[in-house]
Amino acid sequence: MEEAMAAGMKEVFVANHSIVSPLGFTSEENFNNIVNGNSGIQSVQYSFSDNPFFISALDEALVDEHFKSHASPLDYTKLEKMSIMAISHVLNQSNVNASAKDTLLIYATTKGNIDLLDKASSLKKFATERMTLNGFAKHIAAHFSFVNEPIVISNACISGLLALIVAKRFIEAELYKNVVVAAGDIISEFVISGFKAFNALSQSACRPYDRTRDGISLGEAAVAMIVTENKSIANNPLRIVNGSSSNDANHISGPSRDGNGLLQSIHHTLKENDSNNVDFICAHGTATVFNDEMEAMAFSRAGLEEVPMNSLKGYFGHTLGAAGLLETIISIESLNNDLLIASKGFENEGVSKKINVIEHTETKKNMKSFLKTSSGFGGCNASVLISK
Amino acid sequence: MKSEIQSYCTIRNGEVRMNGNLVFADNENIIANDFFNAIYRNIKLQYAKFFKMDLLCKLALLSTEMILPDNNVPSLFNKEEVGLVFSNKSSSGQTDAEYNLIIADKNNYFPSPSVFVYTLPNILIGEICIKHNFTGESAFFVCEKFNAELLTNYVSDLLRNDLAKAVIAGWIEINENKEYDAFTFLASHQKGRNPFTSIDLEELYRDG
Repeated sequence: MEEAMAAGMKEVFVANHSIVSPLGFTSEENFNNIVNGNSGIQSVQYSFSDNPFFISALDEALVDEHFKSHASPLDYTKLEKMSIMAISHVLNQSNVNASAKDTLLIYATTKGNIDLLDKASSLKKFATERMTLNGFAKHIAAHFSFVNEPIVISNACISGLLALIVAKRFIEAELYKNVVVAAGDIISEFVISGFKAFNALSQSACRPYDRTRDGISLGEAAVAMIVTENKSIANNPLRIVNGSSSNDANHISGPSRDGNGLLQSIHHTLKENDSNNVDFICAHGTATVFNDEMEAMAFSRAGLEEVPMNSLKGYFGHTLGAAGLLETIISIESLNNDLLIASKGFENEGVSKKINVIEHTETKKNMKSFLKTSSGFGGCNASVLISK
Repeated sequence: MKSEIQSYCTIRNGEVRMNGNLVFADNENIIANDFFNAIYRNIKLQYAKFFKMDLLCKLALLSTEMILPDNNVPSLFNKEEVGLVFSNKSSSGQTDAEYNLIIADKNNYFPSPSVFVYTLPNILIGEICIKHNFTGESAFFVCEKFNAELLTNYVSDLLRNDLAKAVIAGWIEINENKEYDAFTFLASHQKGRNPFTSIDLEELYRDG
């Protein structure tokens, strides 16, 4: 019966996508930078700390320069500008009509316009309503005249990937034909302070899975993607085969020791033969000691220890709510360009279970599918299988 | 297969209502934290972690306890198959404001992480999962107001596609002024108390 149900289910495709990050203002520009081994992570000195932070930050003057053709930069916050550029790009490319009844905007973020919380700043001119995640998303939706109220997902660091899963479920349930899935988060004093308080920030550019890894490099990005039932929208349509989420039920701020939550999500996402056909895994890989160890446990227990895998945090830093969707987009480009992308910052294996971390970006022909995973505070985990 | 609402609960204005009936009120303590602690004592909960939680998580934990009164409902299901879908308007705004006040003191720029961890709304899902060992599907949505249609669509989808056997869902709101409003319900395929449509859900939310 389960097979019959699956057979009757609508297929869901990922179509156009866009990335606004320190590595570029389109997916293509970002992907080319990654293939060339470039990273957005730099040492930045803040007034509130004696030591520099290694972060991947986007210069707002550069954002404004690109944003000018869309609207006045003075009327929008940094994250709104980044998000509008990403969404505008995918809408234009795909000809999806934002004002159609069957089009939905889902926005994934942990903190939205968190910089507005600092009431002393020059940003206080913006309405306090935009400080709320819903007010923020509505402001973006209004820019494009979406008729449906946008849906905000705020699920810590799996937000972006969970938004993709929710979009797929809404299309399968025939609630919408097209979903614009967007995700974004910015670097703020608020977030730096919090991660520093956890002692979770790295002393240099982050090094996922490496023996010397010592924590996260924060990053910022806004990304967007069209998820659709209409295969003909995209040039190289890829299918979202399956996706799921699972909770560790273990600790609110620490990953589980045994990887149970991530393992359960992988088991639900990969059906019988799927695990033999995963060409690569784009994992979460924050470069904290415990996260990377947890992932190694889960992948090993899932029998995926030989599958080439990477973390893209060495290029973008940890972009929080945007990370899952951003890294899915890079993996889509990776699949379409027959390239396995090196896990930047990795040199010597530093986890207790064997995993196959990609050391050099290299060509691999005939790849068909990849698994993307994310994990986050609150014990949440998500995974998605995407196939040609 | 159709799913139905098994039980529901509201916590607002110093009152706790279960399936439409007033089960607890404390006119002396209607302020958020005092009232939540009074509910905790009233239902004789023994869970020390409760006192470390922020208001949002306390409210979520209590309103979930109410719809699982003798803990026998989850035992009908595998804990891997219990889903959690919550929503609110203010996200973790109340704790965000509190954390922002702490770091406004530049001598305390890197405080203890015990407050920062609660500056994400989905932490309340994590707290419920830890308490009951639920490991199923979960999601946290932020909406302008209680969105019966969204919750009905998403929760029914999880149940219909067998992604969850039972789902605990609802609205857990605390704003910066510590005004609170909680509505939780349990939905599953079992014969239940109320039909599960967005119209029914809207009514249950409104009338408590």
